[in-house]
Amino acid sequence: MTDASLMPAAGATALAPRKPNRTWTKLKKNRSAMVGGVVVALFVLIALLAPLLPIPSPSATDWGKIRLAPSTEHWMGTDEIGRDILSRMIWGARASLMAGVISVMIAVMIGVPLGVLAGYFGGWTDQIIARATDALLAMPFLILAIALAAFLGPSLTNAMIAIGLSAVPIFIRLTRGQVLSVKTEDYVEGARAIGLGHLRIMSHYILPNVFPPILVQATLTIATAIIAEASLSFLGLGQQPPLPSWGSMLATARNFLSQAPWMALWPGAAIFMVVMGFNLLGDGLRDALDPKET
Amino acid sequence: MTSEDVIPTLELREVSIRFRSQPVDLIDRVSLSIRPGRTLALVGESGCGKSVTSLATMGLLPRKAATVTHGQVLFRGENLIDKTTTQMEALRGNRMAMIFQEPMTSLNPVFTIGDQVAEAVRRHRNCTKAEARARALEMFELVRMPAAAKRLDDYPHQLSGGMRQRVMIAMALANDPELLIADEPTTALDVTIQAQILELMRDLLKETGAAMLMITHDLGVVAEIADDVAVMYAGRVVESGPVDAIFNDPQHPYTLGLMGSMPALAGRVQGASRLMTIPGSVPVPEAMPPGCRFATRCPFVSSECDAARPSEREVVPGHRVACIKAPLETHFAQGAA
Repeated sequence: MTDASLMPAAGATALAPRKPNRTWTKLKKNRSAMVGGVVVALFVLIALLAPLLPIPSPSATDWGKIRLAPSTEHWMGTDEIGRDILSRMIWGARASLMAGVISVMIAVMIGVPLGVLAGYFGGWTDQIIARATDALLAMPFLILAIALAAFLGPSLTNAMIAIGLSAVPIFIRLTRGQVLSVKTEDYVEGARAIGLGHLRIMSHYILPNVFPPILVQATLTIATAIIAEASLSFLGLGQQPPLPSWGSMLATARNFLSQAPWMALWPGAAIFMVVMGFNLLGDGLRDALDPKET
Repeated sequence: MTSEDVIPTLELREVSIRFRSQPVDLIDRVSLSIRPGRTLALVGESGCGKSVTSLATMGLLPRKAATVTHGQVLFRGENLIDKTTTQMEALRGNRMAMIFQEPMTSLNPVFTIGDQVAEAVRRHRNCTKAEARARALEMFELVRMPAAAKRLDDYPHQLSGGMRQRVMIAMALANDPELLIADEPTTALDVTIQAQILELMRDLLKETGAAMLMITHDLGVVAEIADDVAVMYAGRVVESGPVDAIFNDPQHPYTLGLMGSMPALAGRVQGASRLMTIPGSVPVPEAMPPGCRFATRCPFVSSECDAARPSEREVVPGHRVACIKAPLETHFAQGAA
């Protein structure tokens, strides 16, 4: 390892892969995508390191230090019951990022297989799945998530499930459309000509070839899901107090906008930054994975 | 020769295929026979049903859209029409294999070519990954892939069209099939590569003893590789026979048109001096002529042609023509008199 990094030139000539990863090269050249990637990576790092950072407990109250403005002692100030906002922001990042990533994973894991089935088999399978998707898509994403979260009961886990389920139709529709075009490719016919069955064709010939747009959509949907989690927490349907989340911090801060505006500023700015980061990254991925753009 | 006793590798007996929502059979009572080790070229212009015939043989026609309404597809004497999907999957890529027209798009872009050939091997043989890979390498060498061992881990986009077609051939022959179906395997390649690929296929067929059904519209390819020829027009076989007979003595007016060998005869027909192109176009299914399907474009057409489907007649043993005016020479002799 050390040798290779010390002598990159020698290592490169000896071990250079014959196919340089074009997607990665293109992504690296895209400045806004890299900015997005760095922002996202930074937040992920902070969230992961939360237990190790020298910060006060996010739920430790101090009645002598209520709604203090940012200072050297409390970099981001304190909230209405004297908790350190920086600490709550860092721990809240865990809730927000987890909600974004896990709910999108739920949506992908349910939506993509259904989309593949609908697109590949067509006929009545497609009719059922596509009609159900249309029905779900007729409802606005956030309204559906709120309804589901309210139905499941308020907790972060349920909020993630609700957001995930609400995002399922997006992935069904995207995947189905991609599969419809890929399944007419000659190599799918070729796979049938060597005697492969439907399952093998779907998993090895269809899925890998519809994957890039799904990856892009997933990245962009993480941003949407983070906003959705903040919205649900804002409404009291997500992360439950005293555990911190950016959405619930915003909800509380609303009551003190004139006395302690910083209480709303930090979570608002954080949500903005992370969402922007994921969006830039997603847009960059889309360009990098598009074979037509050089 | 005892050629009549041998069970043909592939025999189509009066096969008809109808597509849903179409009024007539797109493929109308097509009969073909290929004996082991022989190559039959199925010739005709675009849309005449060549590819549908080959896909039906492989069992690759979409079951919902197309149905075989008549006849039998016999592979070594077994009727493939009766086989289940699973049985057909076990045959495909194993005892019968197919090469497609477009090498550029016929390989899965996300896997290496070595893996794809190995996949065909592993599908039908009980073997380890390493054995399948070894077989893939063996096949790459067989199809004369330069630097075969290095190429195993290349992705399709790193190869030229000719190289990809070699991969397709390697994949098709990996399990020593008895029948190879090649659907215009050289059409998408440039001329010099075409010659190389044809030569390769001819050599490999000789080595493996497989029979081949070659779909093409290129008569040069036919002359190059085929033993027998069947000429298709609008879903029917209009003329069939050994390649020499078809080239030297074409009997059906459509074959004559294809050969562009009309001038000598054409002089006698109403002063037409050149017939290098066949006027008109293939009839659409909605307006199929009632008798001979070539009647709308045939220079020798007469009222009898529309009366009934012309029956096949054998002008010389093995050379069959579906035209009421065959053999043409006798009719011209009468007409000129």
